[in-house]
Order: sequence, then structure tokens, then C-alpha cells
Amino acid sequence: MRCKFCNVEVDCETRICPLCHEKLVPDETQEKLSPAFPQRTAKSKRPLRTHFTPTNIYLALSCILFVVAIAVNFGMQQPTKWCWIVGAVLMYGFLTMRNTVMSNHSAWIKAFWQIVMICLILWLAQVVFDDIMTDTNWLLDLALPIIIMVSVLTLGIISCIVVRKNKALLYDTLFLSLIGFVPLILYAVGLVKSVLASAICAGLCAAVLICVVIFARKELIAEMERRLHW
Amino acid sequence: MSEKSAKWLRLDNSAKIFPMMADKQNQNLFDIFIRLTEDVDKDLLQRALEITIKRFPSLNVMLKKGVFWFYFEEHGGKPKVYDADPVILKKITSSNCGGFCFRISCYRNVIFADFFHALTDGTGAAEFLKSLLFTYFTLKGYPVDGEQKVMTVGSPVNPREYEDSFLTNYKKKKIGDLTISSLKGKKSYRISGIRFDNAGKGVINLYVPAKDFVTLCREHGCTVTEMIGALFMLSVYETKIKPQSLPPQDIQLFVPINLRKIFPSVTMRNFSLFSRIGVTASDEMTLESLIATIHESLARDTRKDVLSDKISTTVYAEKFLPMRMMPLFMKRLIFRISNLFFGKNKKTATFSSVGVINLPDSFRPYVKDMGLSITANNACPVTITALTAYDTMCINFTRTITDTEIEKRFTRYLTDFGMKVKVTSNFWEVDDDALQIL
Repeated sequence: MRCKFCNVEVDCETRICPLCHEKLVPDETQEKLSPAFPQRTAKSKRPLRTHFTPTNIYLALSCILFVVAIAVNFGMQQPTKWCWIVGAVLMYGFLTMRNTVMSNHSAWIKAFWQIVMICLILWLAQVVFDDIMTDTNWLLDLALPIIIMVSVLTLGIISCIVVRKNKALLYDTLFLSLIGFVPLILYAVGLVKSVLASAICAGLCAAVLICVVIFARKELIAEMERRLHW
Repeated sequence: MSEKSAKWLRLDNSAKIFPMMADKQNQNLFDIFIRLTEDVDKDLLQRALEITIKRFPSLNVMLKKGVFWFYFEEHGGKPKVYDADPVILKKITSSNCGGFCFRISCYRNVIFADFFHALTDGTGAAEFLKSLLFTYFTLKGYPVDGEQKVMTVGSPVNPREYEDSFLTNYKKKKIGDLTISSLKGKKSYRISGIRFDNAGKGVINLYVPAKDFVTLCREHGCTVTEMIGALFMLSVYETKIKPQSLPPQDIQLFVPINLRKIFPSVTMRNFSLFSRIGVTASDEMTLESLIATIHESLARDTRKDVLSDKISTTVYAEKFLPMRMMPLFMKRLIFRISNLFFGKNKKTATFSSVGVINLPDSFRPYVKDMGLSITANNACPVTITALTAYDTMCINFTRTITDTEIEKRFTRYLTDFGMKVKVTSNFWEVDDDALQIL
């Protein structure tokens, strides 16, 4: 088909000229042409970022649940404001979905943020249930070292299992193990009162660190080289 | 090579910037499309892709984040052939391309090959596609021969194919001797118009007989690149600047230069720099004067000593200690902020003239033509490319704006010269309803 206005031959299936958009006169003698590009559908012109993502649906449901919790908590005039804990847990779920489940970040970064988020929820619980919890320093004395130990052990075991397939986890275990010394540092600066849990945490992390360095030295060096090349 | 044994690769010098500049919708992609004479057999193409990718280790990778730089890690999986998406040059993500930095798709008789520029440039991609076509045609049972023009699957992999040729051609210089100013652009006219929604892009391909075009260029005493560049600049002036009676504006084309023609290299990775061709648009501008300006700019910018200086400058920037020590997230932040404030209005359009793709003669009965399309974005709403395969040259326009005035005027120039022009389009600018009614 030719466009008499542009003086060009149109080489794809269409009824209008690609340049001037004037109607083309069909030529019966010409063989049938096919479209040059995949047919556009309503879906292809739809915004790429749809608002109905799993995280957005979760966020909407969480907001509703939180509003209900506030209404119940304040409506019934309960002395303990547990609705804030509900809000924090729902927010934790949202952040876990966004930054842990659906994120491409390294395992140690995900684990680090999990530790931070859980600690924040526990701190909020400490504030809300102030009258029930008499020991005010349990969060740093006990909870923080335990959370770090669980994280390091979990990541260490996973990296032992999949070390052949995923060497990147060794690097993650190494970095997470270093976080294990944080409670001991907090003890040194006086923020932690009881040394026992912090010392166990540091000891465990040191053991994991030594195991990684001894048993997977080559893999670890290779991984460090690629991650830290500059 | 320690990187080889550890199955990872550093990004080459020019590739380093591409992942940092990518945003939620835009990515530096280019798409080579091949129109065959028959419909594509998707299953066979899938088999051909799985076989061919083994020959190209530098493409069989996934992009990873390091602490200081991005890097490529060997991809253990198999790439997939997809159905072509109506949205051309759609962003390549780990979810839509299985972690690979390229995407092979097909639609009827067309094979589309989208590549993230961090992976390779047009030359490397063309070599891969030639090999893919060779394997595909062989599986189809066609009597094809590589004719020493194709890296066939059985041929040995030269380690130099995945070297960073910028580093091998780098000559250490003092900071005072570097030509930093040559890399800076100056303010130029930016094509404006109504933008498409989201990542939509309009494409118009002009197919012209290569011999006729070369004859036209000879008559004017210029090269194909110079002729297309000049006609494009004239089209921009006539359709955009002149009707609005704007004060004198600089039209600047951003033209990639293939360094393999100047520095010996067989690398499959990026090895190109760019030239900025600028002219102040006015009524006195003629085709001849524009050809002369482009000729002068290209002659200056393709001199070996000038390019060597540019290589030294870009490699120096990479090796600069504060730059190396800076963590990746800070580098990305700085690049994005600087691009936001200083990156705009530095070019009117990108014009990539790939030249002739040297396909074997035995492919001729099965390949109709080829073309190249490169990403257009808000900073550069129109891009133009020229690629020749056999007797047909494909001039491609990709744009993020609705109006097709530049393409229309450009085509008018060609037809006025007596060229026989064939046109195809994806009609992105036409409303869905209008497209149905018509």
C-alpha cells in the first residue's frame, strides 16, 4: 500500500500511513501484509506499576485492622494501649514483605533489618506494658543477644547446607557474625548490665566466624574478592 | 585471570555507568530486530539460543551489586525466548528476563533481541545474533555456511573476547593532561512534545535500498552517517525550531563511535565512545553546510590521539582513588543527582550509525532485513539509528513523544531525492479506539 501524501510504501498491515496518519487506499492486488510489531492491547498501555500489588493490598488491610484495633482499644477505655503493638506488628509484616521477602538484598542485610525491626517491636512492648515488665533492661541484656544468636545460627546452618550452590551466603554469614559483637560493645559502654547473654552471643558468633574462615576459606576469599573489588 | 576462575567479571569502563543511571522505567537498552522471510519457529529458536549462549560467556551472566561496583556473575540457568511485548525496549529486570541482561523474543517473522548496554554494545550484540541465526538456520535444516563471518558454536573462545579494551588501551596521564572538557556537553535544544504514558515508545522504521542511498551520498561527497545526521538536523530545525520562531538554538547529536575500527580489539563487551556534533540552527543552514560541519566534527573526534585521550580520561575517572573508595550506593546517589541537575539539555538526539552488518551470503534467502532501535527517554525524546543488512538500510526512529513530524520531514527529504522508502510503525501515537475503527 502506498501513501499518496508521503510518497512511501507502507510495509505493514495497517489502514493509515505511519507518518501522516491519512487513510490508505487498499491495494487488492498486493499480497497480505502482517503487522510489524505485536498488536497493542489495552493491557500493554496500562500503567506498568499497578496499585494492586500484594504489598499494597496487605498495607490496605493492615490499615483497616489497625483502625479497628484503635477503636476497640480506646472505645473500651482499656488502660493498656495494646493497639500500638498491633500496629507495630502489622508494620513489621509490611516491611518484612517489602524488604525481606520481595527484596534482592543480601541475606545479611535482610537479617540485620529483621533484628532492628524485632528489637523496635520489643522496645514498644516494653513501653506499652511498662507496669507489667519490671526489669527495664531485658531488651538489651537478653532479647538482643538472643535474636542475634538465632539469626547467626540460622544463616550459618543454611549456608552450610547450600554452600556449594550459593557461596554468597558465606559472605553474609561473616558479616552477620560481626554484628554478634555488638551486645558486648554495648556492655563495654555501659548500656548492657548483664554480661552473660552478650558473652555467649559473642562467643557463638566468634565460633561461627572461625568455622567459616577455616572450612570455607577459599570460597570466602573468592566471594570477598568479587564483592569488594574496587 | 582470577575473575575467570571465580566465574565473575568486572563491568567494563563504559558499562559501569549504565546500571547507576537506570531508574524505575528507563534503562539504557538497545534492540536489534531481524525480519526473516518466514515465521519464526519459537521452539527451535529456544534450542538455538540454549546452544549459542554457551559460546558467549560474557553474555551468559547476571548483574550483581558489589560493595563498590556492580559486577557480572556467571548465570547457571538457560535463557528463554519470549513472545515479543508490544511495549518496545521494555525494561529488563531479573523477574522478566530470568536474571539475564538480554532478552530474545519473537513475533511472527521478526526476532527481537534487547540488550542492556552494560552487557555489550551493538557490535558485540550483532556477533551474538549472527551466531544465533546460524544455529537456528542449521537446526531448521537450511544449507547455511558461516563463511568466516560467524562465531560458530564450535569455535574456540578467545579470552580477549571478554577483556576490557578500555584498560588495554589506557595510557596513564597526569590529571592536567586529561581532556575532561571534551566529555562535557553544552546546552542544546531539547525536542519537546506530548509524552507517551509510562514506558511506551513510538517506533518508525524507514527501509531504503542501500545502494541508492550510497549513490546519493557519493553525489553529495559524504558518508552515510554524515548524510543521515545532516538530514535529521534539518528535519528538527524545520519541524520544531523554525515554526516556533525560537531564538538561535544549538542542535547537538550524540554519536557513538565504534573504537574497534581504530584500536585493535576483538572484545564482545562495550568498546565505544561518543562524539558530540553540534550546530547552531539558523535559516542559513543548508544540507551541504551541515554535511561539512558533521564531517569536520567526526574527523576531529575519530582521530586516534583524540580518542586515546578520551579513553585515558574515562579510565582515569574509574581509577580515581576517591571514586574507587566510595561505596556503590553513594556513587549511585551522586550520579543520579548530577544527572538530574547537569544531564538535561545536553543533547538533542542520539544517532547511532552501526553501518553494515556482515551477514554470510548463505543467510540471504532467509533474512529480509535488520534494524536497530535504541532507548529514548525524557532527556532525549528521539533517537535515530541506521543499520544495513544486505541491500536494505533500516533507518529507525524511536521516540517518547506522540508527534511524528520529524520522521515525516526526514522521509520527505528522502523521497524528494528519489529514494524508494518503505515504512513500518508500531502506531503507538494512535488511540486504541481510532486504531480499531480504521
